[in-house]
Amino acid sequence: MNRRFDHEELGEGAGREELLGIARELEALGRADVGVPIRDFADRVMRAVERERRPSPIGAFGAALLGGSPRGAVAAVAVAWRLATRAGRAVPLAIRAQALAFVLVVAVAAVGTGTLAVAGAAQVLGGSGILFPSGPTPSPTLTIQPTPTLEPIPIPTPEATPSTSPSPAAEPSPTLSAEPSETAEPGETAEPGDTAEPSETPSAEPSAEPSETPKPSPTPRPSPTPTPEPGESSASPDASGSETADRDAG
Amino acid sequence: MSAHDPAGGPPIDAVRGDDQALVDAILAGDRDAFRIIVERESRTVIGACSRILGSMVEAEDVAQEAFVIAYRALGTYRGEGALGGWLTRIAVRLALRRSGQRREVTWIDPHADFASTAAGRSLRGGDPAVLHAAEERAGAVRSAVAGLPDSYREIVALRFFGDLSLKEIATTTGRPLGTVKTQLHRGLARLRDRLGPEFAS
Repeated sequence: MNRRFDHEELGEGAGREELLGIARELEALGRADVGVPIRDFADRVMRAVERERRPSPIGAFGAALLGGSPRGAVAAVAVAWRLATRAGRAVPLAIRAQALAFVLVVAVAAVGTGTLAVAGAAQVLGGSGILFPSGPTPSPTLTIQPTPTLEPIPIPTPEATPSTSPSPAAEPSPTLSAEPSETAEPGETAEPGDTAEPSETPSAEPSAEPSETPKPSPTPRPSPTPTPEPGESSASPDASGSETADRDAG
Repeated sequence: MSAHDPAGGPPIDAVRGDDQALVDAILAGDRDAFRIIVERESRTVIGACSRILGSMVEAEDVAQEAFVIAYRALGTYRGEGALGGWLTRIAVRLALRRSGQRREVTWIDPHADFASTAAGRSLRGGDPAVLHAAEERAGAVRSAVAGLPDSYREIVALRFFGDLSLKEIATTTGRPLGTVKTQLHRGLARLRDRLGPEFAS
């Protein structure tokens, strides 16, 4: 060991002389003759190395990742790139291709991961309105709009009350029940077995139909001529409903 | 990194170029290229381990382990610094770890051949009492270095036991030169506090 410690290596600071004394002590220890290594040291090392797999940037990359050393992983990629692009025939084609493929895979993975990260960040920040300010702009307009929408509200409110009463009239049960009423014409065959099938549709239409089933009952038409009532009675539900609606409106 | 090694060695750029060629040959499957590296660097690596551990046998074991670890990690050697510095750093870290696992008190065998120790070789032919005192002093310094915090310990060991310049340490460890200087200064200050004034005088 012959590299003498220079006091300039200490830089500025208090107690330089004392530190220089410690440095001289260390220097003396480092200058001591360490002897000659055993003759077969290289053989020993080579025997130990023979049991190891051939070193490669790919293996070093994996080991660096497992060891939590990103610097080592980056270095492995750099070495692979150096191998792939090295001029001359020092590196066999297979190893060169392997190194190039490794670099490409890492590059694609890095770009993919980066894209996903950017997309995820954009989604998170954009969803919260930090990244894209277009989201928040409608919100103030929405706060303004509610005030005019409140004004028309009072107008429909009086109309709402009549709309409640005509709700039974809104059910155009007569028009729908007209069809079953036609089937009901054979209602003469008022056998319970036949009514079983249509009973499902009428059951859905509650009390309006029973009132109509009497309409076909005017089969007594042939007997009396003065049958203006059936026409009135068929229209009566609508009329009653409209009348009630008019009354309510009035 | 300067054009020439401060110690008067060959141009560093040339050594680095050879280093990269050797490493690429090993990565390409030429295992025998590693023997060239071992034969070229073994003396430096074993010397650094020996100065830290104070035992030649132990130093060779650690140096062998360092070479095997370096062989596995050759895929990460970018050639930014000299390969010798890279290997020395691996060996110094291993030796410091081994040294830190030791007990605080080292029993000295009175029947052992003192001339085989580092102090004995450096003070060959002197008074045995002086030789023993020197060995105890060296042991105290080694123990104090082993007790330093990691960042200071590595810098101090690389500078004084691995014989690397501050620039080489900065390149090998990937730290800025100013940081290396600061850590060396603080490491020496810790050693002064630990060893006492008689070592600092």
